[in-house]
Amino acid sequence: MIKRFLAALLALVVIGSISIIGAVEWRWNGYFGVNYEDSTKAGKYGSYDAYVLSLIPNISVDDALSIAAQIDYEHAPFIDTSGNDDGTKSLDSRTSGEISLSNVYASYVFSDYLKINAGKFFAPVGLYNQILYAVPSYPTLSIPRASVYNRSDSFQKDALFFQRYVTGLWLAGNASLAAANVSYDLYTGNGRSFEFHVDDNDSKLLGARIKLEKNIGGASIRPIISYYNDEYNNGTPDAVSFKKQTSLIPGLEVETGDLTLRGEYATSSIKNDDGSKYKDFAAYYAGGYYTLMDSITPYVRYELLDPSFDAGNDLENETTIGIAYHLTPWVSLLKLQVRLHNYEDSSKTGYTIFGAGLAVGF
Amino acid sequence: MKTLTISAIIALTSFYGGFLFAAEQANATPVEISIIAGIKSPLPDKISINDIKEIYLGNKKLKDKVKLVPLNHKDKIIFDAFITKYLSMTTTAYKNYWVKKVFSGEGSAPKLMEKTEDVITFISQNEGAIGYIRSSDMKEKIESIKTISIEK
Repeated sequence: MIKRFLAALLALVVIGSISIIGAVEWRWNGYFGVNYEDSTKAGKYGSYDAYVLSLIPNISVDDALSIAAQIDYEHAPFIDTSGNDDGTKSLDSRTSGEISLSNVYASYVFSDYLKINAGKFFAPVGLYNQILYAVPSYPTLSIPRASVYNRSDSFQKDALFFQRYVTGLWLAGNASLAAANVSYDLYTGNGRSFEFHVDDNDSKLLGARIKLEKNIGGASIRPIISYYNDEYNNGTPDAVSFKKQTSLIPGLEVETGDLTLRGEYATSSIKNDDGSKYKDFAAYYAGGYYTLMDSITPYVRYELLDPSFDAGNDLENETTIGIAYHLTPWVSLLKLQVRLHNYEDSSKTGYTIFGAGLAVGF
Repeated sequence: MKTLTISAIIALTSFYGGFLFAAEQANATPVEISIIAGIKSPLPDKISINDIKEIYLGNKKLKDKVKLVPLNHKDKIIFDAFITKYLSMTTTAYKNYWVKKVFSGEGSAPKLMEKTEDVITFISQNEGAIGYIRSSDMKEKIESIKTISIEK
């Protein structure tokens, strides 16, 4: 009797497990990008770059619960170890490129108004941060990295105005109101640190984004605003120097027919631990993109960065002119562009970068 | 010199594309579309055009706790007619929208159905499914399907 009961129980557990496994739906998407760029910068030569391979699995456990992930292989990573004389191993000097798990989070949909995500994710900031490397989704070779999405002078090598990746909690939702369609994002997570998944200060980061969409006279008008607040150690792990950063990034996207106009303005204030000003800075970009015959998209984009309001003669600007050819029926683009980078400081020499690229989505 | 050459290529290609575009527009013919759902669908018989758009942009996922499953038609003429009329978007803009959404990990594009018969079969078997077909293909009433009209 007991044996029959245990056998039945075991059968139920197995069947239940199979049912759970069987209900899971896996879906894979991804993209690949390869570029060639040549620059007039002194000491720079033309080179090919296997820019990115991103694999995006989405696992639907059921209608409400899913796991989203994104694995990025940048610049064709090569990782190897070599043996040392003392018998230990260290990273081989030929090691290059990057492998990162950019997104990995669980998502639970309560309703259209509320979805809760937990894990690591691209910070929901602006129009571009979540599609940072998604090269088939824009006609340019890269997102506006000379301005709002700048990385060059950054803390812990992250973005200038915000942290690109967040490990934490993210609420999102959308609603159709009489005035407009609204979507929101609200998130909190570890602030910037010397170790990514560890917070080295008591403050957490807080961010929010609101997007509206309204059709007016056949045009889709989409204002957006992003807020980001973070405290981090700007010194070293042993010599702390806390800073508080607050950024505000309003933007606007207008789409009418095959014409898209897009622009964002980012402003940021960094304060010392005692509340005194450390640095204020800003950047903006504006671009126009027009698609002809569903196959050709010429575009022009202008960007400007003011790295410090208090310093003069430090503006930088970049103009990008290019064209993308849509390879149908694939989700694929052939791109050709010219970037002209200039400095306000006459002692610095501007430069031009010629680029071509192929982006394939799957 | 390089800048001038590349800029000239971009300008000439744009001009050529514009010429072809004008030629295609002159030959475009309209198609009447009917939006359909299953007879047990949680969607009402009349919904707003904004709701149709929100469903097909993946923003409206649930109705009465039933997961909505929008379907796209592979026939380019039917697809183009639906996207233009009900979403007020060009097909390129719609495709770019979903490319961005999929590659930011935020969703999956609507299922793509090869033929009208596939649309009808899928909708008959899936409570949350919604799709569209050429109005002239609705020759006889199908018991498992209802037509959804747009609120004025």
